[in-house]
Amino acid sequence: MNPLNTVTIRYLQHNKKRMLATILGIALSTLLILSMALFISSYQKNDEQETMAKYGTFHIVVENDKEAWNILKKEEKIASIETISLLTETWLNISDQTYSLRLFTMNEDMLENIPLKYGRLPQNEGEIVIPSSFTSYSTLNLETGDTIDLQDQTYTVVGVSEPQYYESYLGENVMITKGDNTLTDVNYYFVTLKSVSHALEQLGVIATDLGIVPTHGWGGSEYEGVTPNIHLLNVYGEGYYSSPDDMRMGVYLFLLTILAVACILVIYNAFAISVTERKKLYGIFASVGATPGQIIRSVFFEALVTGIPGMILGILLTILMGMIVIKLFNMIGAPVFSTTFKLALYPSYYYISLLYIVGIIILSAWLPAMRAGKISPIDAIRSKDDVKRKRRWFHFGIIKRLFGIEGDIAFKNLRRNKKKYRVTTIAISLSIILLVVGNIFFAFIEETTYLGMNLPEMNVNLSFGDSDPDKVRAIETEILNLSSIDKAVIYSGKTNYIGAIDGDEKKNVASFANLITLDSKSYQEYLDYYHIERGRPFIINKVVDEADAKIEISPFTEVPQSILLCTRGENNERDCYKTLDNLEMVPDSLGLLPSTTALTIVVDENTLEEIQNLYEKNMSVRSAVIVAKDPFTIEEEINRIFRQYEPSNAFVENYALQIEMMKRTILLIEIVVYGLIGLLTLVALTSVFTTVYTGILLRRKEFAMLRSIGLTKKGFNKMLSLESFFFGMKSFLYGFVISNFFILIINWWIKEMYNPFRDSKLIHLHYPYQTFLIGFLGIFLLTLVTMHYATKQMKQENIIDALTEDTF
Amino acid sequence: MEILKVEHLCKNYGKGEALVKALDDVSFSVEDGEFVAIVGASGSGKSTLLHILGGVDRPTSGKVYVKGKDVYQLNERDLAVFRRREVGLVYQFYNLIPILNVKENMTLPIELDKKKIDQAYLQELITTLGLENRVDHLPNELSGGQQQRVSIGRALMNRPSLLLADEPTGNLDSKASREIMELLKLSNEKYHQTIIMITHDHELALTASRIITIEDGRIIDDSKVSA
Ligand SMILES: Nc1ncnc2c1ncn2[C@@H]1O[C@H](COP(=O)(O)OP(=O)(O)OP(=O)(O)O)[C@@H](O)[C@H]1O
Ligand SMILES: [Mg+2]
Repeated sequence: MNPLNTVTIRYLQHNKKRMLATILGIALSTLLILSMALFISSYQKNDEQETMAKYGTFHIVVENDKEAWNILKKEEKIASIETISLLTETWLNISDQTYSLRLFTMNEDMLENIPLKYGRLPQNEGEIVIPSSFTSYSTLNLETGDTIDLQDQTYTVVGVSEPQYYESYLGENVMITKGDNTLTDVNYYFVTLKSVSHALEQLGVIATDLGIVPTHGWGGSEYEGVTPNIHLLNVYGEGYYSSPDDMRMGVYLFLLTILAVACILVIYNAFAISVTERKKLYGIFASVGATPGQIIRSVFFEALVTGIPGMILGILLTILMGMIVIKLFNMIGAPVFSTTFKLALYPSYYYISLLYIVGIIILSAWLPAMRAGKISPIDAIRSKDDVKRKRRWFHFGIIKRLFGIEGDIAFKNLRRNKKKYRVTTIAISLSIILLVVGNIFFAFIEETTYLGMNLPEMNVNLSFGDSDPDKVRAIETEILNLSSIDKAVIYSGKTNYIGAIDGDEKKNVASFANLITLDSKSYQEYLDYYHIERGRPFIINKVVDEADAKIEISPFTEVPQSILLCTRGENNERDCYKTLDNLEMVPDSLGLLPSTTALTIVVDENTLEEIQNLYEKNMSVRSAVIVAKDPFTIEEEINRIFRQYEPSNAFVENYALQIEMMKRTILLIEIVVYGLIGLLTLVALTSVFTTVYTGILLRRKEFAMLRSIGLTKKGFNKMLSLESFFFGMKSFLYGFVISNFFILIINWWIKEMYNPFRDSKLIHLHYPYQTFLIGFLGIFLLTLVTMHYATKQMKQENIIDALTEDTF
Repeated sequence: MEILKVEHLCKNYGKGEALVKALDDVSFSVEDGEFVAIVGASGSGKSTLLHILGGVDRPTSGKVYVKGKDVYQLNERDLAVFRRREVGLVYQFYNLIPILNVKENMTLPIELDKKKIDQAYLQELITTLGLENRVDHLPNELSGGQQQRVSIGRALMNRPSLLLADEPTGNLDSKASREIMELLKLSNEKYHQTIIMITHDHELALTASRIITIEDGRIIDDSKVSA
């Protein structure tokens, strides 16, 4: 072997701890970057599976006659075709409404996979499965065991199906029976392509082969009766517009670049230190005739020797961590998500990641290698001592007074090794910045999604209406009397145009005003809580903008004097009929957010009635938000009340599952993001270790001398602790300043992006005191532990050995 | 045969007021097989001259020809190859590689050149240097004199055109110094090795066949030693 490489290997063996730190740094970098790839491609895989479960695995649906089969069968692009054929279509008239009932047969495979709510699948002719919309309180009111006549034939209902993806192609009222598998005049061919690439173009070719002439649609050419499964195609980035795949790749590359910069800094640091430390060695090599090329190659050889085990270890760690994380994910996700998460790594992500890592290692070794190649033999021969003492130390007397002589030495050491510590400082600062930004990001997500979902408290949402106001009132009473409800607000209202605010149209912050009344109990609560006199209208000054990124907005900073209410006639002419004045304004304390685009104004019943009486009386409608400990029971009980009274429209929705899902989703994202930040911190710590360890090796003689003149072990420990403290403090301060800069930017961004109303007061991001505190303590402790570990060996060392041994 | 020729060599350090003329218009030449001692006061420019001859430092102006080749016309790489093949350097501080053993340190220039090691010559050198029992030792397990012998071995291993030694005995006691001088003399006689050696010690300088005296960067005396 080349003597330079022999020396490199021996040198690494000689400094095992440091070599391990370098390998570990590379391994962690690999882990960091590979796990990002793993995470993103697993996300895509799971997205694909979820989409398939929801929208089917096929790519194109062709609605056509029997003949089409012969054409489709010949298409080479097509992997498989499943068919659903229309048997009969009947119109039923039930109490003024016309229903179109369509009966289909389908492939054996498809039939067997219909998910049932209850009952069984059709096994004989004359048996049908109906959608759940035909049951419950629909007018059809069918149940299993019932029969239905469709065009001279009687069918028996044997099962009720869950909503199915094919319904969106076949129409709503789809009934399935077991057929004899022959095609009819109307067939739906569910086509799966061999390859999804350019699926929409393939669709065009298939449609053209079928003799269909394209029309120009919003997403390009459209072919009548040939529809893409656009949800699934979107997953692959083959949809009409944006490509989520490209976007995901973009996000991935962006994050990758940030992480890569951090990793480069750290790995660079390791190599740079290694080279600096061997400066004299390279000088001697140069003086006995090693060419710059040979020296450069030897640094890259070192990169190879540490890089390969590092990468292998990193890949193993990724596999291990992936398995643990997926277990954790499924544990957290199992109760609320229907699918189980699976690990997936697309080759493209895998190769890009590995390429990145190799690139990172090469880049990291580059500068140190070039520097080593330039080392002149004369420097190495001439200088016997590497420590420069040119700079005069400022006298920081206060440090000495505060921390004693040990603090003074620690501080001076840090100042002297400023350059050596620089990279490590940057790496640690980066951890702090990411921690804080990540934290704000999650605060923002939580805040906005919970508010955006309109779900700070309530978990059941419902509305009902009937032309008989007594019936409505009776239902209202029943619901309010349900014992398992913690809090309920029932309201009814009327939407008005806003003519002007304070007589000035320019002040109109919204187009609509919803005048609502509350049930008497909730109304009284509001009045008492905010000390409002009965009858005085009050604005609930909080609107959630759902269309945008969901953030709380308070449209008014001061109470408006008056609001002019209007309506629009048939010819859009304005008819203003009432001015609300003597207004009050309160924040929303009940999670009462009936509309997202209108002002909500609570009035008493007389006012509402007065306005409603101006117009023809229509149905009396009530909406309600409910907070319940057991939302599932409440949902059932409300359904029972609805069944009992049979209002002409009724709707109840339980958000508990959605809230839980969202919470857990955020938790999962948090695990991933904080996990990545944690890993990055570990990477930074390997750098701390390398820097400290080397720094201390170079200072061995100095330490030994200090000890020989009486520095005690305790004093030595104190000195190390103080050095960690100063160092942690410095890194923290950098991170702190830059983080605050980011906080400002984010605040500004929110204000610019989410400020449709002028002068409105926005949600204020909480200042992340806690995160900073945790960050500081974490950095200090970790640095301390690392420093003590790095110097453990040295503390037991014989003073004479250190004083006499050659130190390069 | 003329093996080394130096023409109008100048070397300046610093600028303006702080300008130091370490070498000031030095010219001389050395014949094949000569043993030259360079003497002079501390700071007179001896080491500077030696480094420039050895191709480890560049002159401010002037030329150095080794075997008729203009050394400082070479690029970095070729200069390194020149050092490896034509020059053997011995320093006051032995500058051995601490993690290579005696044998490995000695063969370093050959290995760098990717040449085959002449085992017989290596063995002969080791014996001549009296290091038979030390070949597997690391430098820090050797005495100063032994370390210096290793570095002479390393310098001779390539059969260089020039052996350059900068106070090779500066760190040694008189007995060890004498041994080193005898070794140099031996290599000069046995292998017809051209040697240029810096020393402070006039007595040791008399071992050489020619003495060049330097003062303030200039040659003030150049005389043969009568046998
Ligand atoms: N890198 C440098 N920068 C500035 N001046 C230098 C440098 N190297 C050497 N000098 C100066 O050049 C002059 C010659 O130095 P050189 O080392 O050649 O002296 P020397 O004759 O070898 O002395 P000694 O016998 O003490 O080794 C001295 O005045 C020295 O201070
Ligand atoms: Mg000198």
